[in-house]
Amino acid sequence: MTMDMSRYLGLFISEATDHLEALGRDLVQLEREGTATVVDSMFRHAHSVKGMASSMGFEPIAVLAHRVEDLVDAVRQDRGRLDRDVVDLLLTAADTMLAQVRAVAESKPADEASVLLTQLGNRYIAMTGKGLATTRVAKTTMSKPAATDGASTGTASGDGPARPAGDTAVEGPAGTTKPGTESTAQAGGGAASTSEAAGAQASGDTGSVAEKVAKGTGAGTPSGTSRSQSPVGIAGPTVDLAAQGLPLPPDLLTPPGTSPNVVSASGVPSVGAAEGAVAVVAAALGLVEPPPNDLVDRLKDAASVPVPAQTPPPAEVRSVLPPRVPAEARGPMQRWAVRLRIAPTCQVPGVRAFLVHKRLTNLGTLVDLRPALEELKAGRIPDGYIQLELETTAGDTGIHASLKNVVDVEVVSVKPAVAAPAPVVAAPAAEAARAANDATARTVRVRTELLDYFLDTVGELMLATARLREVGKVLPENARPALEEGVYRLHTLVKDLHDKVMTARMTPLSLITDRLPRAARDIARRKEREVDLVITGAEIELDRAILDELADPLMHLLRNCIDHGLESPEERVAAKKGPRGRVLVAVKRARDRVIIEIEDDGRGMDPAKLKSAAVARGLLSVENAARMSDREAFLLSCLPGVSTAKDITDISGRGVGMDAVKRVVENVGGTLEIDSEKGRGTRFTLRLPLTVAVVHLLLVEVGDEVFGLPIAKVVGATEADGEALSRSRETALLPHGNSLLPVHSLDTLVGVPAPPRQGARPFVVMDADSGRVALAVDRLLGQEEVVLKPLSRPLDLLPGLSGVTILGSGRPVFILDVPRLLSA
Amino acid sequence: MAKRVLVVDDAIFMRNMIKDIFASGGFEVVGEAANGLEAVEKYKELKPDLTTMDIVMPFKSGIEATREIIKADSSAVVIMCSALGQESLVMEAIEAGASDFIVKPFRAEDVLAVVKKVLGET
Repeated sequence: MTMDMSRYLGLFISEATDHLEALGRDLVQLEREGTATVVDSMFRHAHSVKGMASSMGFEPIAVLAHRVEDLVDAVRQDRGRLDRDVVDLLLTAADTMLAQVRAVAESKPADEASVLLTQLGNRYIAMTGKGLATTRVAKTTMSKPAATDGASTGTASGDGPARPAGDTAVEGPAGTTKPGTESTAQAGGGAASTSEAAGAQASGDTGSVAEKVAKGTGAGTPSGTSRSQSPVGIAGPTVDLAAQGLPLPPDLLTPPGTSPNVVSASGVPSVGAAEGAVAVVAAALGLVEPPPNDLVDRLKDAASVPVPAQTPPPAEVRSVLPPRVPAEARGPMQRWAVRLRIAPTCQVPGVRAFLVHKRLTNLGTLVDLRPALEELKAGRIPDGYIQLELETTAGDTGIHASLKNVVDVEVVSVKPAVAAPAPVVAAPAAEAARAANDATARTVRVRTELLDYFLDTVGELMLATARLREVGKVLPENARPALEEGVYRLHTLVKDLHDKVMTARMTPLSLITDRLPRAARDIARRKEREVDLVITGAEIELDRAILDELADPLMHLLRNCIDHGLESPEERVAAKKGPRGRVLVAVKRARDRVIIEIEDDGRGMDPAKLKSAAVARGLLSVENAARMSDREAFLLSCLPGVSTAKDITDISGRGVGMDAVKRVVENVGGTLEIDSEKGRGTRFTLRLPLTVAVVHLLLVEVGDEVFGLPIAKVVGATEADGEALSRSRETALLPHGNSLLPVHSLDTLVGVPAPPRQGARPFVVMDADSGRVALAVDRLLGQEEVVLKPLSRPLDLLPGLSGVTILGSGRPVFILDVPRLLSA
Repeated sequence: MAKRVLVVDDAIFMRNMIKDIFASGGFEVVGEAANGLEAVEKYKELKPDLTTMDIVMPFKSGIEATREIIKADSSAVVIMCSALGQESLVMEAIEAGASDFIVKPFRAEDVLAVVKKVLGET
């Protein structure tokens, strides 16, 4: 349920305006006499505005108020931090918020004020050394029917509109996700949470590449070592890059660890479920509807997974009992072993656990508590489980009663504690528990925006290193070795640091796939479909930034499969299929890519219908339609407005469409493919880079231009006389291994004028969609490892360009997506 | 009989929202207070079944007010209204005797779930 907030709008406008004007007055007074009272008052004003704006769902205002609140709080901690600049900044912020409030009063969107946010954030980080917190903002409606889309209410935050990476704040690494929280801004790619890590990836940057270059933001290139160690090509007839000892990633096709995750209809992954077993999930039962518990039980039986028994409270506790057990109800002093679980949906598990702790210490003496209190308070509770031993006269009834009226707490078990556990038996378990505790203790949560900041800073370091090296080249001969040695050392250190930062950013896909079972259930239920959802390989890790972007597309594809792909049970039976549809989400790793396949066994797509729909909308000419392959035709479904579904349903027809899915996947450097067979089903294949940030490039020169080719696609390089090549019709053929590869001239492909040349020239052999191809270039410049920056508008609209980077010399270089260039 | 609620928050906006949530859940809001001082006075006067308490307020904070209310009536049920990032303040309030807490931005069903649970109605 979403609250209709429109009736509070007037109040919001007037009260927020009051607070903001008061904040402005306080600020002016603060400059005259910075008393604690004034600072406290400022904090309250900012805090109130944040609370109101977040309740209204006015994200820009809430985020800005949050930053102001943070900064004022920092000043409150230490008034020595206050200076004229801070006051100026805060005054600007107060004015901006007033303008934002005026904007929403006029039903206009409030300005995001991203520059100001960054300034406030930077100042806060500089003052405190702390990272920025995320801002929770309610999803609200304004006098419109409440959105009751199960998929959006039942899933965690990432269900909102896609945002550019870097503009989306998410809380720390895995474990902080709160699946099921509707209010956004939690982990998992929160749509409504906005942050502006200091100097982080320019949020939604609409500036041109030229601007970026001028600002020197972001991109950096280490190079050097690889360049000097590995001059590619030129000499030998064929130079195999891998054989040169170049860092081609090992082929990692589906590592052994990718056992299927079995998920249950309740949306909870059945932990430890039979390995390798094909997961059977009754995600939806549109026809028969057994009571929920019965359904869950049957599924548990089916999966034969031992599940901790749900402890129903003893009958006598069902009556309302006060939290504090009266003295006369007390029995003998006894020690109890209690096992509890804080619900994974709990927003603030630390406080929840603290409340439990408080309740129990009211009952008696805690003799053992795991995790320890400090860990509990910090919310570091592995899987939400808390174990403790309590000496009390209240009995198990009293323990149950004291926790009965606390939400989000499940009492797993209350048993008499064994007074002196046999040491021999207990030792391994105790050791394991201690080891687990140690592991927890050695782990800290870091906010994602801080990770973004690290990454960006490391990128800058790489760039600075590369510049130093360039400087070295103009030094006199005798001064060079010392500098080069230092630069080399610096480069290795930065590289190492970069690797570590990247590792820290890797997050398992389960973070987003864990929501799919529940969504599948809801969609199937509504559409009266029956579906088994099987998810495999969810433990495979991807860069957090990519993961965040993927939440919406995955959800959309799942909806598409169930809503449009799967037939009703009756239709399926008529088509000689089982009544239950099957949707498979398979995650695999291949080289430096992660492949996600979402596949249904439904009715499949009709390429002819897609073509005629595209033609009817004027998106495709009849001639082109006739020439188009089925595979290309399936991708027509990604054009805005093309859909063969007869009606826009309430499920697939809302939010992101296939066009958005394709755009998001390509924005993170991935590709989308669609395969379909009528009557057999449809498969969406997402090929994604492991990380957004760094790519290995082979730099090539064509005419006066330099381009980067992703090493991942490069098979090798060779040299041949272009004129001497054999030809088939118009296409020159280059002998490579045992085959002849079609030759494409890069100058023609990118439209760069290049002088005709005689004699031997280098060719780069690359993987393309239709097999290997050879690219004719003028010169191979060597390998670089670069920080990839996504292209901003309008350059991102050009097919065949996958990003841009800046070389050590300061020269911007486009990275080519050769397969798309060839098909464009 | 409907349970009687006292709503404490320095923003009228928040008070109205909370009042509407309670009304939708079948509670009776018997009073409201805009700061900690007023809260303690109103509590003693009204003896509500439940009090929702904002933390950051002028004159007297919600934590201090809770402490005084519990001192006056150890069976008082006070629910703290907190925002993310205020965890340590909420824990302080729990130490002071608060029964439970809710987290902004509020969702009606979450608020009612906590409240009903605390009052033993579920």
